Amino acid sequence: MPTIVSVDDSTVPGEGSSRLLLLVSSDNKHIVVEEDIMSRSRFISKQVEGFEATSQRHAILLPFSSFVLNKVIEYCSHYRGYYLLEDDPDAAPPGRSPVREWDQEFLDVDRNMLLRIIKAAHYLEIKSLVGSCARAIADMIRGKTTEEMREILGVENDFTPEEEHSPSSKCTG
Amino acid sequence: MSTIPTPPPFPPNPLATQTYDQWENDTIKGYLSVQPDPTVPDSPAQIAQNRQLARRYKARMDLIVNNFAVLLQNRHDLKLADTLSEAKWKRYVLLARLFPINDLPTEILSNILRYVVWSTKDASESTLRRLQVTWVCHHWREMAIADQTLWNTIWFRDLPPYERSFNFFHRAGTAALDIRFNEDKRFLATGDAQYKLTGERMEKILDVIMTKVDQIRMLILVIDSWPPVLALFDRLRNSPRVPKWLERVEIHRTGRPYIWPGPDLPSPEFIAGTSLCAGNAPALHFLCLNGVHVNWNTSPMVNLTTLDLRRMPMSVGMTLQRFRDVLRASPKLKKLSLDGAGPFRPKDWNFSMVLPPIDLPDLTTALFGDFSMTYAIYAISNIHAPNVRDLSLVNMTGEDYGLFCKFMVGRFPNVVVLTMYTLQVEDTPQNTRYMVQWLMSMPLVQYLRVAALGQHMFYPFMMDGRYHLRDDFPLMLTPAQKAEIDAKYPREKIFPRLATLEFQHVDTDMIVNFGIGRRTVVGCPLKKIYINAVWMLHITATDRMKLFSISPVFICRSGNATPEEEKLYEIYSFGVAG
Repeated sequence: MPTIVSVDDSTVPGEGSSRLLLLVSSDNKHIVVEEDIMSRSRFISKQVEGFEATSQRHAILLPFSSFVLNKVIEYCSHYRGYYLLEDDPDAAPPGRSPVREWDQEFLDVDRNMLLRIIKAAHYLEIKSLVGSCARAIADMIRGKTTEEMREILGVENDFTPEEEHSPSSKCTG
Repeated sequence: MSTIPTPPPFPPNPLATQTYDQWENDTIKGYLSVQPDPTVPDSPAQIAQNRQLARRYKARMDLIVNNFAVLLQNRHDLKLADTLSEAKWKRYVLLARLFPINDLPTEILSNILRYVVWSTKDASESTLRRLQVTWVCHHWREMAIADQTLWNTIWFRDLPPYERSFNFFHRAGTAALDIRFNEDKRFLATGDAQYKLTGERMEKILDVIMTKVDQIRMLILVIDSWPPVLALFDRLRNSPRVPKWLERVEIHRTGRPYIWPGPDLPSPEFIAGTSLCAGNAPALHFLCLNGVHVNWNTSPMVNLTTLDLRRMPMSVGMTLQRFRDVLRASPKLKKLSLDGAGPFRPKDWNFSMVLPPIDLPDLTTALFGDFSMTYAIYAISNIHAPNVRDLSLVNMTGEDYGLFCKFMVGRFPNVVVLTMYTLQVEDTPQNTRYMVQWLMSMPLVQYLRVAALGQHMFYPFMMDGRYHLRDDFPLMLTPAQKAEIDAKYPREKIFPRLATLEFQHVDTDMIVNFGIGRRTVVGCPLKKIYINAVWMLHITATDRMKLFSISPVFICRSGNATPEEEKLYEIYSFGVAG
């Protein structure tokens, strides 16, 4: 695990510690994390490039809570320095491979948490994590009936009875 | 959730452009969008309670809307309208806390739906999944229909006029298309001609399909007779547009292989075969023709990764020269399958006319079947493929294939999965030597699949290979000769890595003896035995007990790789999709 320091004020790491980033969660928790851990995030990388252009460093405000952010940092730390095909913008799409073993364990969380992680990963532009979460959610509903899918994912059936029972909808989708 | 905030009061002057409902929705969304995520996850009990509460509010809303619609018009009954608003508001807050999946950005949700649809075991399940995701709610339906990549695998197995398939076809938009045609199940079950995919029906389908010929990536046709095939060939040949994305063509004509197609068909043209895509399919790399032939000289057969030819009369096979040209032009060939089909063999061909083999270093999967012994040698002698990992020999019967075993010695030294279905080798000391030498030349075999083998075919697997290392060793050794060889050469185990056996159409006692021999004589016990599901019906309870005494026993389905096989595929990265 990387050194992740929670600080109580909004002190931005100084010039001497330029490899540290300050991330601020929506519940106003300040988390310092090494820059290269978060380099998997295209969003963070773009922010850092912006800092370099202006020679100024700022805290990066993120619209999700610290417990979601910490989970994302845990993922990025685990794959620190690893090449993941999904995160390579030049690589072809990874196709239909299964969820990696470590990811399976990592994503063994309740559904709400899973959805929050995928939303955060999407915001941070971490394609590999988005893909793993998407596969994990797909696994939850694969092989289930339509009604079970609604139940598992909290989706409301907003079809009218006529729409639901129309033969064309049943036959052709 | 301890408290649910109450809704804000109705503004005295709602925006003139908004109805009350619009204002209410915007207000709820605005409120929810600025709410932070919870700082600790809800407990399962809390989640269940929130769900129940959300359902209760929904029931209350439905009750009011369904029974008092008139009173709600223009908020006529303010108290009732406020009750409805409160239920709606609280329910939305709860749902936000429960995080319904539809709150995710469309891009992510599309991603999830793709995984649901794509990760299916067969095309039939894939069709069902695609339909199912459109039945969940309006949002999913709209999103799924807008995603072209969800619809681009089209299996024409519905009834004419193929409403569902054509719907998929249109929804696929500009995406690459994977198209498969099949005979109707009812035709296959009853033979009733009204369900048959005729040439005329095929023409009607092609009228639509060919409008996107340049988007077709995969074309699979599994039919009974020639007319639909000829219709397809004809359209592909005469298409003004090049099928530039076409990567894979698979045509299986399941009817009798050598039957004359009928008096209506122009016979000289039929025998010459059609030029596939008029010779122009630049991306084509996977070609499987089963029971049909093409004009080999003018069809696009370069840079193939899979060449799979089955059930063709010799008279319509390609020339040896063309066959060798195709192999030379396909240096990355990964799979070669010749099953009752292959290059034409001149009547005067003999073993002295064998040509230098063509190097196929990437060939990892090879199947040869339904050949006479001479033809098998004739065909296989054209390739040099030392990296074959998965070798299958099927239906080599009707004569003695002992010499063929001798021919195979050292040809495929890296085989890991070996399949022998109906290989006839007469029980002679010389043949046993050939068998032992051949098996010894494949020391990496870990998975053996057998069917319809004679009892004597199992003995070589138990033998000590050192007594057959050289052809000049006597076939029947005296104790002194044996001792001399023992002193000179170390013991040579046959298939020292063999761990898994899969079988069908073999007497259980033979398998049991094989298992005992591998454990006691060779010292390499089997770790697992698979029985083909169909053959399992022939296995008695006593047989099962006997087999269990050898190793754990499992049932497998024909055509499906077992976990051990899949693992080997993964390790050695061989096998070609499909």
